[in-house]
Amino acid sequence: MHTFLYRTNSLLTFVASVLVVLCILASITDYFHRDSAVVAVDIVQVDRFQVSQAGNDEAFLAFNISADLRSVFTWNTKQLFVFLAVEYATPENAVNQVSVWDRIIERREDALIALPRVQNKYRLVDQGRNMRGRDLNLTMYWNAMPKSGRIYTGQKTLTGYRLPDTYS
Amino acid sequence: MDYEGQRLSEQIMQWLIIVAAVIGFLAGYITSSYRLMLEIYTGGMVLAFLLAVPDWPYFNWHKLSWLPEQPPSEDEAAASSSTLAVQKSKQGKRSSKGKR
Repeated sequence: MHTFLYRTNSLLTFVASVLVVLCILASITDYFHRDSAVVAVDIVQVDRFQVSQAGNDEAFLAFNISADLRSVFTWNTKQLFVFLAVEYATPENAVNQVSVWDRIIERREDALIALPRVQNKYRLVDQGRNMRGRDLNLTMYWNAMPKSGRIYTGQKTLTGYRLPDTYS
Repeated sequence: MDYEGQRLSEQIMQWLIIVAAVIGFLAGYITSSYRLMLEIYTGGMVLAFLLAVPDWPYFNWHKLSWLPEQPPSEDEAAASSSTLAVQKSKQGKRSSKGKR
């Protein structure tokens, strides 16, 4: 502590150590956060439902997505990655999960989502020809990426959707 | 900066930074703004730098009082000349080794 540079070095080292403690404390506060997310998704219309050239069932759907994820944001949240997955079971695969829509939300104000008609952003293709009359679940997932700490994943599963019995 | 000044400097630095961290954390959490926490903390760091790092007069309130300079006695003079002689002989050995 006897020269200018020694004192500067000592100050910066201490600042860095305390900053680590601050980050840890901030990430601990996230652990106690409980959100009250609201998610509602409808399949408005089946635009097309056909066998693709490769011989697999493919559906083109239009969704009505409305969600309020503002309560997921905390003071330590950097952004949300939100995606909608179509989930169903077939004789070939017990679990099928297809991501059909996603969005990155960087601000709390943008977490109020209202999309009256949005087509699937990514192709919904089965492995095989098992999608006719198939029951579907739609699950909205969100990864809350913090400024410091670990990523939290939340989800809301909506049930009771069904694909048509015939191609169109 | 004297010894008491060094102690004072370290205490000022650590206390300011800890207080800035506590205030910043509480303010950031209450206003739910991570940015505010970092701003308060950075402000505390700058303040601690300004108050604790330069050699301000208040770090020199406890000057060490050295003994007044004394003329060397005969024994000391003899001792210092003998150490000089030893250093000279060592240097001579080193230079002779270097030549080989």
